[in-house]
Amino acid sequence: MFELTQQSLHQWEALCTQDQPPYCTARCPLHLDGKGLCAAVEKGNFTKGREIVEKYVVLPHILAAVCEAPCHSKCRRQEAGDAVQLQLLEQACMTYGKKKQTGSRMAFVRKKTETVAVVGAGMAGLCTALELSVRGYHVTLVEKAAQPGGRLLQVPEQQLAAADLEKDLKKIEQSGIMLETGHAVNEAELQDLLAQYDAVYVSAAALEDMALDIAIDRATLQTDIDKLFAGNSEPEGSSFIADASDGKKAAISIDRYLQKASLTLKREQEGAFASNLFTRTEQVAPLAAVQPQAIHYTEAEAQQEAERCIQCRCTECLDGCAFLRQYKRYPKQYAREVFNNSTIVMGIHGANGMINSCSLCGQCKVLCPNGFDMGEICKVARQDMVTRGKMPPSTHDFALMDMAFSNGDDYFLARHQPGTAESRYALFPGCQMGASMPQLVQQVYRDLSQRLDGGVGLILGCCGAIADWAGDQPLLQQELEKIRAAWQQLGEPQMITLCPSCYAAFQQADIPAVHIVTLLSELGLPMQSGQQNGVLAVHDSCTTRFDRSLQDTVRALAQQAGYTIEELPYSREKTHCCGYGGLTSMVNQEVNQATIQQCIGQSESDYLTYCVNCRDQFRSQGKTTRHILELLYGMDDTPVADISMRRINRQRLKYQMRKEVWGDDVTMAEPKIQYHIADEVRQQLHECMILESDIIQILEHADATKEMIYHKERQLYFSSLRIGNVTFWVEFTIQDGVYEVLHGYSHRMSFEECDVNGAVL
Amino acid sequence: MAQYYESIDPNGELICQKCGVPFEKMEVTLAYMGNSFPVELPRCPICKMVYVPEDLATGKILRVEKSLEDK
Repeated sequence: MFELTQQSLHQWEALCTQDQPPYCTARCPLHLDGKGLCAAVEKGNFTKGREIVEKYVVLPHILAAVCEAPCHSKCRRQEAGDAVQLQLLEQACMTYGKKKQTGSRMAFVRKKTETVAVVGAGMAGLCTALELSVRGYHVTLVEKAAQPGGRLLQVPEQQLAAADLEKDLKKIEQSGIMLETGHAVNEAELQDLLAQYDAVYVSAAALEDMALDIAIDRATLQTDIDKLFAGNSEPEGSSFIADASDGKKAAISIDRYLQKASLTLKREQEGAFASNLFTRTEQVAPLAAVQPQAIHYTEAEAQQEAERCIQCRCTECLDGCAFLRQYKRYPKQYAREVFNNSTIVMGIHGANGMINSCSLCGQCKVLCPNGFDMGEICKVARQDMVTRGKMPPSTHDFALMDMAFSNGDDYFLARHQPGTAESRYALFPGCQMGASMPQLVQQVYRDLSQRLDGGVGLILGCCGAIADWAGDQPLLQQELEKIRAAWQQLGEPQMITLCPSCYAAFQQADIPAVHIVTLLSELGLPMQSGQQNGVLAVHDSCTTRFDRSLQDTVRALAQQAGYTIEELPYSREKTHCCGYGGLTSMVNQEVNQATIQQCIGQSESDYLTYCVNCRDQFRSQGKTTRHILELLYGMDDTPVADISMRRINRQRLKYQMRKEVWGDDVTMAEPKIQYHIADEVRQQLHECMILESDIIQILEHADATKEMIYHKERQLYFSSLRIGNVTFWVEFTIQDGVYEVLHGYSHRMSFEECDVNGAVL
Repeated sequence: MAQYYESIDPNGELICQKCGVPFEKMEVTLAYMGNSFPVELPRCPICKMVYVPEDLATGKILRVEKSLEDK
């Protein structure tokens, strides 16, 4: 665990390489956006492509022709065919793209008063002069030859057409640069220039003509003579692209020098550097480079070549996680939002919803090449919100009330097997197995108590995972202590868990536990399991994503029962959470639904799970899914229980176990009123998270107090009651003494100065 | 005159079953997380029971609750 500090934020941010540039861009000393260029050309948008070239390159026609294309060697396309021919594509953009008519960079730049002299009008000097001119300086360009261009003039026509050279050289005049040709600058004249101008740049070639002994800082091109900047002929001095980069570097330094800014700050990623962007190429189908029929590409050829660009980007975690995709950004940005959210003093905490929608399952950590764990960030953020009293009260209210229910009188129980005074084992079905499939719990208990020696106790309750997911650590400890006390009361038996989350929670709390499937693989299959057949795709549980042995055991048991196992694309340590984890399903229905769809969309086959929540989540969306215990105990299909049934099932489980296993004289409390709820109304109440028990309480209260409101036109009644932090409303009619429930809704606001509706006085 | 966040008239449609009288439009203060909002809602003039229509509960009230929770 970590704290939400700027330092830890930077550590997290460094792990996510999503906004690192593609390899071609990083290797290009001018950082030309090759990926963007390919995306534009692929669509036939050469004008957009030309805009991109011109954005990064001040001599676009020239460089498109003469660039040595260092990007080529770094292109990841090479791993599946040839590198993308970016230089040919740049030429195509300059040929087929329309020239931008308005809004040139210069139009928006404030003219500055400072003057700069640039000596040498080769590639480096030209770039320096143009870059400075773009930044608003008054530039004088001095060249000893009769015309500007330097080595460019020696490039054969076939490679650099005179017309293209001319187009770019025209920019000198268009930019308002003063050009003096046929003017060789010697050492003495340099002194004059230094006196006359605010800064002077001398290209490497021009420098050789002077008998000057100066030291040049390679990082900034600043010399040990004040105001003087000089070209760097080594180590890449012989390449045009290096000269262009040198010119740009000098211009940046001179600009900073004249603006009295630091010459060295944040220049690490200037020029060529290595990108850390992770890009997978294993799935990319090999494609050879498109060769032009003539010297240059036709438009169609260029489009075809641009299509080969694999658009380098890292989507490892996004591909796996519906939650990460939901907010249309990527983890580095999410991390910053989470950290900002925790430091806001006034105003809206806009990231609360996002923080509380993550299932905390750890899949992203497995998928990310650098181990970025959004779950850990969200978990720490939730804990921080709880500690500072900033967790929205409604977010986890229902889930925490449900946990209180599980560890309260209605469900909680800890007993030795009848007729024994000690327990070598204790069955711990957990809250959700009891809520979903109480009959199965009874069957498992009967089986284990018959086949295991040494006594099989029973502990009904919740392991505290819900408090953990809600970010409430003190509450988690409190619930765990309750379970620990029960475990100690039974003589510290080995806990047999039916839920992978309980299993993981006990492992962490140093309570010895075994998952039921591991036990059954040692004990042998229960009598009830007949030989079956068919294909089942295993959906692994996210809380035990690293438990290879448990995963193997589940597969082996299903095979023993006669099934053929299918592996899903995201299985074992890469498995998706079903959406129940982290309380996503209670907090964000959109993310929950997208998560379920991603899980069940992996295969047409029926699914096999070993977590009841995965089973219920998938079945709720119509996916045939069986829990491993349903197979092994030959259970018939049990429909998914709604939120009300999940409570009733737990109450009944405790009641029936006490009555049938221990022979206790117990009775289930019956409602004091007669009521009826139609199926479609049940569904509406389930969606609004209104429990049947809430409805009963309201109706009993209404029946006893007559606090009902009659609506004349609609001919029905309303009644409400404050239960916990919520005011629940129910609409109903009364026929022959039976309350017919029609609808329910709720709000959390209370009424001040009001003596009915159960509100604050 | 007080400024109300919401004003709903029962239009004689609502009858208090306990007191046997029609609801009237009366002032109520809704409160959440230390904030309060004066509104006019249908209310029994005798026992003061309040009626909150569903539209209000799941519309404006819910939105205000959410924004207060995120403050």
